[in-house]
This record gives sequence, C-alpha cells and structure tokens, in this order.
Amino acid sequence: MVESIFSVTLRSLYISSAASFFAFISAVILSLIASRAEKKKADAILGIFEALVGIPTTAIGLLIYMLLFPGGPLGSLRILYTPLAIIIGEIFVALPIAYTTMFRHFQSLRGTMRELVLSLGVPEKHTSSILLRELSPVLVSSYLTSFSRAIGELGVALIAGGGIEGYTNVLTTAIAIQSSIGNYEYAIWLGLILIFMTIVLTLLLKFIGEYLIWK
Amino acid sequence: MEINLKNVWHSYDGSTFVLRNIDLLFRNSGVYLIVGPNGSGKTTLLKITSLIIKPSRGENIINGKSFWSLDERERENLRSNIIYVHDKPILVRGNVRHNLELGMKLKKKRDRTLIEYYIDRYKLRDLERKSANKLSAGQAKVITLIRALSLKPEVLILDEPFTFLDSQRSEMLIEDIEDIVEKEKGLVIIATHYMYKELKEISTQQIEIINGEIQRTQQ
Amino acid sequence: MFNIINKTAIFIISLLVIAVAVGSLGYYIWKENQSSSMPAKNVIIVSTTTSLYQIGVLDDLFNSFNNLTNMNISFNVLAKGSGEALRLLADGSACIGFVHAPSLELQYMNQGKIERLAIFGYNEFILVGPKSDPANVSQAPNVIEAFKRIYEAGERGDAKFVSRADLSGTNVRELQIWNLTKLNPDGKSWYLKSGQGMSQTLLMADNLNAYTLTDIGTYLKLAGQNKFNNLVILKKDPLYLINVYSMYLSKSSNCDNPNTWYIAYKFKDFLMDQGQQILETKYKGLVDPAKGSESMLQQAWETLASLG
Repeated sequence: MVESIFSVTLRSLYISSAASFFAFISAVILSLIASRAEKKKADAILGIFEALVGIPTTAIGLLIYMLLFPGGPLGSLRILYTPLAIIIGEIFVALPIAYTTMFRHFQSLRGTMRELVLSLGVPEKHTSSILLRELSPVLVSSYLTSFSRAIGELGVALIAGGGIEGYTNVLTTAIAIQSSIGNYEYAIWLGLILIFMTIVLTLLLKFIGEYLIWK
Repeated sequence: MEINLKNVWHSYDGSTFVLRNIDLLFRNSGVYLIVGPNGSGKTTLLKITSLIIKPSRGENIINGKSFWSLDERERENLRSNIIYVHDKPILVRGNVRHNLELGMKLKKKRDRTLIEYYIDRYKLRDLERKSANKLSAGQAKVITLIRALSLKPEVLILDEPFTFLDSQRSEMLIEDIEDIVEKEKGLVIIATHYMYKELKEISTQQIEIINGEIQRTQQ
Repeated sequence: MFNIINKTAIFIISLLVIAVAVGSLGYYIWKENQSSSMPAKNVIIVSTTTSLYQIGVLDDLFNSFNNLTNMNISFNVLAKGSGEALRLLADGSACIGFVHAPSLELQYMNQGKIERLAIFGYNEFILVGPKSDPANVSQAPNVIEAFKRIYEAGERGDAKFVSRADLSGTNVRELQIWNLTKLNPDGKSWYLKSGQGMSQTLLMADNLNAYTLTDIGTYLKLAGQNKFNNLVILKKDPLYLINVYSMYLSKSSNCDNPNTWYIAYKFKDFLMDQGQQILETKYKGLVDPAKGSESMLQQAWETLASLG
C-alpha cells in the first residue's frame, strides 16, 4: 500500500535540489545587483528578506494554492498537485534563507574586489566574477542551508503538492500522512532518513565554516 | 602618459573634505614622491590619480582628455595603463602563483616571463604554491608589488610600498622603479614615509601634503 | 595544506551536489518515461477523507476498476479531512471526492459547487474511552445521554474528552451530538481539541484516558495493530451514529469536461455494482456496502444533513 522509502527519498532530493538550485541562482543574482546599490536600499531589501525567513511554510503553501487552484489567477496553468508546484513554492521558502546567508558577504567584499580590479587596470565588469570566486565557500554553505530548508519543509509540499503517492509524495508529506493514519513505524523511518540527511548537511556546513572561510 | 589634476576636491561623506583644491601635474616619465603625515589624504589622492575614485569636484585630465567625461570604452583603455598597489595588500583566494598571475589572467596576457623573472629576483620560488592567506604581511606586500611590476605599466602608483619590506627588498624595488623610469620611460608615483637616499636621488619632484592641501613641492 | 583541503572539499561538495541533482533528475526522467511508455494516461485528482485512505479500500477499488474496464486511469489521491476534501472539490482542485459529513455536503450542494453521485457505503461511529468508564457511558440508553454523562463527569473532574476540532466528518458529527444535548463543552478544561487526524486523536485519547468519537474503521484498524493500551468501544447508537460515505463530483469549470465526467460516472457505475461486492467480501465491518439499505441510508443522510 505505501510507496517505497527509496522512491520517496529520491523524489524529495530531486524536488528540493531543483527548488534550492533556482532559489540559490536568484539569490546570487539579487545579491550581485543589490551589493552595487546604495547601502540604505540594500539594507531595506535585506530587512525584507530577513522578515520573510520567518514566514511559516504553510502560509506560503496556501499562497501558492490560492494562485494555482483552478479558479485562481494562474489556475489555467494546471500545475497544482504537481512536483512543479512544490518546486515553485519551495523556491519562495529557500530564497530568503539563501539571500540572507550570502548577502552580507557580498556587501562587505564588493568594495575591496572592485578596487582590486580597478587597481590592476582591468574593466570594472570583472568584479563580479572575482567576487563570486572569492565567496565560493559562502556560496556552497548558503546553497546547503537553503537545500536543507527546502527538503525539511512540509507546508508547501502538503498544500500545493498534495502528497500524492507515486507523484508528489516527498519525505515530509509522507511523514505527515503516514503519522496521521497511525503508521508511526513507517513515518519514523522516513524521519530518520530526513534527520540523517540534515545531519550530514550540517556537518558539511560546519566543515566549510571552519576550514574554508577566511578573511 | 601625462596626468593633470585640476582643482580637485574630495569628500567621502559629502560634508568634510579630505582633499582641497589640488592642482598637480605628473609629466610623462619620472618619479614623484608624495609625503605627509597619516590621514593627510595621500591615499585618496593616489586613488584619484589612478582613476579608482572619481573626485567630488575638479577634473582629472589624462593626455589632455578629461577622464570622467569620457565614455566607458575610452576610460577602460586609459585605465589599463595605470596600475595601483594598495597600502594594505589585497590578495584573493588561492595560492601565490594564482595571485601573481591574476592581473595577466584578467587582461588575457599570455607572457609569463616577467613573473618568472621577478619570482627569482625576489626569491619567492618557495612560496609559489603557498596559500595566500598563510602569508606574512611582508610576503603579501611583495607579491602585490610583483603582480603590478610584471604588468609593465606605463604608470605605476604605489601606496607605502616599503612598509613591511626588509631593506634588501626595498633596495631591489628602488632599482626596479629606476629601471621603469630610465628604460621604459614610465611614470611612478609613490606615497611613502620612508625617505631612502636612493629614492630621493632618482625623484623628479617631492610633493608634501598636509590636511588635504598641498603644502609645497620641491624639484 | 589549506589549499589542498580547500580545493578538495569544494570539489567533493560540488560533486555531491551535482551527483544528487543529476541522479534524482535522471531517476525522475526515467520514471516519467516509464509511465509515458504506457498507453496514454488519464489523470484524475481525487480528494478523500483520511479514514477511507487508511482502510485501504480506495486503492483496492481503483485497481479493480482499472483491471475490469481495461482503462489506465491514474487516480491521484489527496487524503484530507472531509472539510478540506469538500473545499478542494468546491475549488475544482479535485474533481471526485469521497466524504462523510452530510451537513457540510448539503451546504456545498446548495451552493451548486458539487453534485452527489452516490451513497456507496456506511459504517458507524462509536464512542470509545478508557476501560474503567468513569462516566458510565456504556449504561446510557443512547449516545446523547452518554455525552451528557461525559459532560457531568468532566465537570466533576472524572473524565476527559478529545475532540478532533478539524471539521472532519467525525468532528461534525460530534458537534451535532453536543448540540442535541443542549450542553456546550467548548472552553472547558476537560474538553481537549487535538486538531489532528483520527489516528492521532485516538492514540491521544488512549494516552490521556479520555473519551472520543471515532469511525469504527479507523478504530478497528489500529486495534488490530495492537496500538491501544486502554481504549475500548463503550457505546454504539444505530440512530445517531451511522456514518454515511458518499461520492461527489465537482461542478467547477475545471472538472466540466467530457473526459472527467465519463470517468466519474463510469467509476460510480462500477462502485455501485462490482464495487459493492468488493465492500461486502473484503471490507465488511469497516465499510459496509450501501446495497440493500439505500432508503435507510438516504433517510439517515437527510436527518444528519438537517442537524446542521
């Protein structure tokens, strides 16, 4: 009756790595743009994203539902209860985390890197690539943080994805649905996998923090 | 290259001016020394001269053209001939070799012979593979200096180049500066506390700056 | 040294990330191809009350339906409480629904959002509680009296009651019965709101030595897995505790197409014919077939719907 843990886990990985990838790319582009803006403006944007970090994922899930249900503004796309709906919702979950964990580094280092580029008589447009290379450990850890946020969230996956077995069922929805029908044993296994994966990620983060970030 | 600062004023915060009414002419080929106490505006003056900072007021005329009213492409062209070396060395992630080649990589230059020459001359062969963040202040400084020298710039602007340098390397650097001016007909501008005799001998002009204003110049 | 760690680490991590992304993407594409290599697939979204999902009866019915009709319809099941399941039908987010909350069903029908296709099965709600039965409900003449006794015992501090408080079919029925007692337990310290599904609420009641109302299917399923220490059936009441399962079709424009209608009516026909036999032979006691009790069920449904 219940789906194999293996395929639920793989689907989770696929959906949350896609979501965190897009969130990460957008966060990098936003950071590059915002780090060139005035400090006041950049701080205001950062403030908004910091506030968004705390929004319950259920609220984001409901928002996505209201956009995508057949009577909603984007209902004609017919993507409610598909993996794509979860990916879209999780982008909004992961983006604020990705942005807030990387932006300060962009802001503090851009000035220095710009001066370095100009001082070598190189066009200013090369600043971004130097900056990205310089921030690579920050970017890796930022990606991992947003990935673990995406894979661990329930609200969007349940409301916009529906937890359909064999299609949109991911680790968190499987845990929620299976425990709601009292199948705690199965739910615990899924929980252990989730815990295992987040622990591995956290260890990677710690490793990066200790060995790779230098100033 | 001829750099002419005309009535330059500069302020970082819009109210207090760190540079006031600067008029200076750096003629092609020669060594210009800028001296003055800490906080007198030497670094700001150098960064304006090297086209990194746009002055709040006044003009920076390069070879007869007002630099900041040129379009982006012309600016990039002029700027590529001017190399500035920071007081506090700026290095990027990676090893010494990568940092030495950074300028060449960005400018897509292939020829590495000058880098090899300077590595040997300044005895840095052992450091080549060392990570940039494991260097001492003196080593970091030498590397940023070599990075600039090996680009063979028409204009070389050095901010406190002798800090952290031992006397042997300081002497080498002065020789290299002399070479640029004598052989390559380059222009070198140096802000420094250390008044080496050799440096004084080769200098075209000494400019003293105090509190953001030029106190006196001396041939 | 540092440099080596730096490069190796970034290399390994990027490899990991890429491996995970490519691996899962590859798996996904493979899986998609696998399903698309089958004959054209009709997908229909179904919302259902959790109890039917848990009993496993729907999966069974869907498989038999596909086998019997040689169709290959993929029923994408959303397991929710009846309140949410009906809301999804009204929104057109799901096209077919299986629910058991007559008063809510009537509301949505009156709004013209859903259409009832059939009453296909029933079982009963039961009042369960601790073996010791502190409120002595097992001796009550009917369930209304039993609820009154729980209220009194609760006020004395002898009993507790767990409510699902989620507008599920079970919760709606519980509130209807409290209405009939003319007593209002809301806000009392012994009246606990779980806000959770039936299974979790039952396990909670078991741990707290509390009473609760449940559908018999979920109770028996968990009791069969030995999940209870102390929770027993204390009161049945054929008049007020009948639990009627109906099948609905959404009237939203999203579901208004010949294909969906065809599948819905085809499935309804199957459900009321061969489906009834499946219920009779495999799910007797969990979900009884409606066949043979149609008028009784229709009447019970109307009474329950009118209780509001």
